[in-house]
Order: sequence, then structure tokens, then C-alpha cells
Amino acid sequence: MHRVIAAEFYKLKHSRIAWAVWFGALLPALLYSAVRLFSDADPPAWDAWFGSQYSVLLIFSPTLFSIIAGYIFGREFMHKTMNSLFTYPYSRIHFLVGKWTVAVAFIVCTCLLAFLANLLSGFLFVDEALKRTQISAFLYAYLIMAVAVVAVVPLWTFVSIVGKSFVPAVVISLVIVCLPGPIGGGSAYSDIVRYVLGIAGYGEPVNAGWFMFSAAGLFLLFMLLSAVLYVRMDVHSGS
Amino acid sequence: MEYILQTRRLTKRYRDVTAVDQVELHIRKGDIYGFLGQNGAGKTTTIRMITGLIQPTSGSIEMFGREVNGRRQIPFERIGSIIEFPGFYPNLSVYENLELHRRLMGVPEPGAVWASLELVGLVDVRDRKFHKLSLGMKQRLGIARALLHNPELLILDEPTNGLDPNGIMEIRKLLRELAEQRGITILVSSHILSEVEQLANRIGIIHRGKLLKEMRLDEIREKNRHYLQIRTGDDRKAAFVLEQQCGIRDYRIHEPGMIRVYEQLGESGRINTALVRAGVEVAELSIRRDTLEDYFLKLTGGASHA
Repeated sequence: MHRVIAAEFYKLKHSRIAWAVWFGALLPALLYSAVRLFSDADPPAWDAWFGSQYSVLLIFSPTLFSIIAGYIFGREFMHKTMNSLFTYPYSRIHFLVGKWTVAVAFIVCTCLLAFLANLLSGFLFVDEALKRTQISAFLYAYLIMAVAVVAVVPLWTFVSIVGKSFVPAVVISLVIVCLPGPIGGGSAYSDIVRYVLGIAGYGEPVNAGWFMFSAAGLFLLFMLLSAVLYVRMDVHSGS
Repeated sequence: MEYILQTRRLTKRYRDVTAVDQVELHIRKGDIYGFLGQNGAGKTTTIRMITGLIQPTSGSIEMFGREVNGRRQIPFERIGSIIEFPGFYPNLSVYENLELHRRLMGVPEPGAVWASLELVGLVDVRDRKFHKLSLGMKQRLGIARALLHNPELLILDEPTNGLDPNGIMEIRKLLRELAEQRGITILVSSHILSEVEQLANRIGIIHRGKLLKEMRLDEIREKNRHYLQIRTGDDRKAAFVLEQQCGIRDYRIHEPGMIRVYEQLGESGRINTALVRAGVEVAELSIRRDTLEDYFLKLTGGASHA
């Protein structure tokens, strides 16, 4: 199994997709740092500094991470490497798990790097003293975001396998982001953002149990569907 | 008889369409087996079933003397393959693509990559990204990958697709050397008759999903008869002269203006004189033998392209 995981990382050597991690990690910090450089307003408090950058990443995370996860799966079809991939002496499940490992590693890395960028940029622009409890609360918030995104990875996997490209994963994400909310005004995703913010400690407190249950359900359901599809599918000329 | 690869009643159905119908291949150790058929005859589907990419509807596959039930039992370490277009990762260099294969195949010697590159003559472009290679180089890289882990069986689906005549000749030479020097068994599919004729020692002819014939190429050569080919401006009049004046019954009009005579081959001078005297223009008269193409046409009922 370790050979397959190592190979999945090796495949992304020199790949531009690795830049998506830096893009996602640094963009919110760069944006807010640029705004602060040209602003005469009073220095922000840590809560506001963290919360604003966190919200930005949360808003564009579905699109960004769907490109990463979709690419890891869809590229094998687009580059016609499926034929050789499935003629190695490993089960297809090994490759599926290998690819998930890479996708999850990229997502967790992006979230942790974004947290660090948030923290470091804060030292430049926030005058307030940073408490240890704040650091752990903010770190928890970023990890909650990683969990929320990882829960969707099997769904992106599933649509990438069905569509034989990363495009369906991106489309699904855009639909999630743009879908109208159930109550009206705003999108359904803005409710999800408020929900995740609540779990992470911002705004209305939310019960994390239901969130974890939903995330695990979504993850397991599409993991199972993706695994069945991946193992059973025939690889034809167009693949 | 030791078969490296054998299929029994191998079948693939897609709803109402039977793409491969009870195909029985028998490939012996050391064979260069030419799997011949038109585009859409079922060659690639058969090969995809053999390599575990497609699940057969029914039938069985035996490899290296053991029945293979499902792709998990396929001994991939002993097989090298190119299925249609050889896909590689465009962001990786030639060397890195082979290095990836070496690691996945568990080949311990890092030198295996270099040896493989040398074998196909790609050492000079080892640092070039895959997407910057020419089509011929991509095909050769595919062969390098297929050979890197020293397989006993090489499965090549249309390996000369898109190559220029020089490239085709190079690949043919390489495959012959591999079979002779390393004793590798090769299954090579193609729709180009001349390619198979110059490479294989055994052939299987597939047509509309069914394996029509499987035999040694020299058997075909022995079977194929010599004939006298006459190219003429008036084949009807020529046929009349052949029958009435020369007493020839075993002949056929192969195509308009071309007659093939299968008897009295030693009497070509007399036949020529008879035709000329009767006022039939003779543009060509030569003794020839049926080719694999003729044999293929006979078997498939005159299908125009193999």
C-alpha cells in the first residue's frame, strides 16, 4: 500500500495542481494584508482578523478543493493512464485509497498553512496580545473546515469517475455554492458557512454532533459508491 | 503443449451486441502471435479482457498454466502491455515516468530504467517531458515501460499506430530481437496485414467478434497456391480464350482486368501466345502466390480492410 501512496504523490511532481495548495493557503492572508496596508482604520482584534480570513477560505474552499480532488481522479482518464494504472499488481481499491490519501493530505495541508499564514500576517497588523486559548480555538476552526471538506471528497471522487474528468466535481461545487437557500435570500451554502462558523466558535453556537454525523454519513455513502464503481467499471477506449 | 496464454469461450456482450464471441486463443511460449482483424473486429476488447480492464461476460482465461478468475489473479508482474495509446503523465519526464513504473512494479534495481531507455533508444530525451515527445517516441516509451520489469509475456495492442514507415520497421526489429534473444512471448494485435505477416509466426484472425482461424503463418504460406496473374484490357474475352483455346477451368477474375490462373502454370508462354493471337492485350503476366491478405479476404468473405 505504501508503494501506491508514494506513487500517487510522485505523479504530482512538477504538477501545477500543487500550486493550488499555496494559492488556497496564502490568498486570504495576502488579501487582508493588502487591505490593511492601504487602510487608515484602527488595527483589528485577533477574533476579527482570524474570522474574516477564515470566512474567505471557507467560501472558495469547495471550488478550490474540488479542482484538487477532481484532478487527482479525473486526470487518469484525461491522460489515458487508466489502462496502465489498472495493470499493476495491486487492487483497484489500493489506488482509490492512495488517491484519497493524497487529496486529504492536500486539503489538511492547505488548511494548516492557511492557519499559519493567518497567524503570521496577524503578527504584522494586529496590536492586541494573542492568547493561547485563541490559538487553539482558531486551529480547531481550521481543522473543522478540513473535516467539512474531506467529507465531500468521496462525492467529488464519484462524479469525477462517472464524468471521467475533474470538471463534474467543480460543477458540483459551484452548484453547492450557488444553490438558493431553503429560507430564501442568500444561498444554501451561506447557511452551511454560518453552520461551520458556529461549530468553529463564531456566531450562534451549533451542536457539532449533528455536523459530525452528517459529514461521516456523506463521506461513507460516497466512499462506498465510489469504491463499487471503481472496482467494477470496465476501462474502454474512451477512458 | 505449453500455453502461456489461453482463452476458453471468452465472450463479451453489451446488451444486444456481442463484441467478442466465444474466442479461443492458444499462445505458446516463444510465439509472436499476430492477432489480426479489422477495426471493430473485437481485438482490443479481447485484449482488455485478458489484461483485466474489462470483465468478460462469460468464458475463462488461463495464463502461465493457471486459470485466472478475476483481475486479482492476473500475474501482472509477468506481463508487459500497451493497450491502444500508451498513456503517461505529461508533467513527468521520460525518465520519471519509467521510474514511477519501476517503483510500482517493485523492481529493485534503479538501473532498470536506464537499461529500458537504452533498449528503445530514448536515453537522449530522458529529461524531456512526456507531452513534448513525438508520437513515435511516445510509442517507444510505451514499449520501454512494457519491458522494464522483464515480462515473460508482452501484450501489444496496435503498437505501430500512427508511426511512420521507419518507426514501424524499428518496432518490428525490436520485437523480433526480444522474441529471439530474450525468449519473450508476444501477442501483437493489428489491422495491418503486412505488418503481421512480417512479424508473427502464428496468427489468429478475428472477424465480427469471432475467431475464424488460428494457425502458423508458414501453414498459410504452404496452403496458399501459386498462380499465374494476367493483367489484361478485356477480361471477358481473355476468359473465353483461356477456357476455349487453352482448356483452363481453374481460374478466377480477381478484379476487373485481372485474372488469376491456378493450373498449367508451366505453360505461361503458350497462354500468352493464345491471348495475343486472339487480340487480347496482355499488360502483365507473372507467377505469384496468394498473400496473407488473400487468405484473410477468403476467410472474411471479402472484407475490404484488415
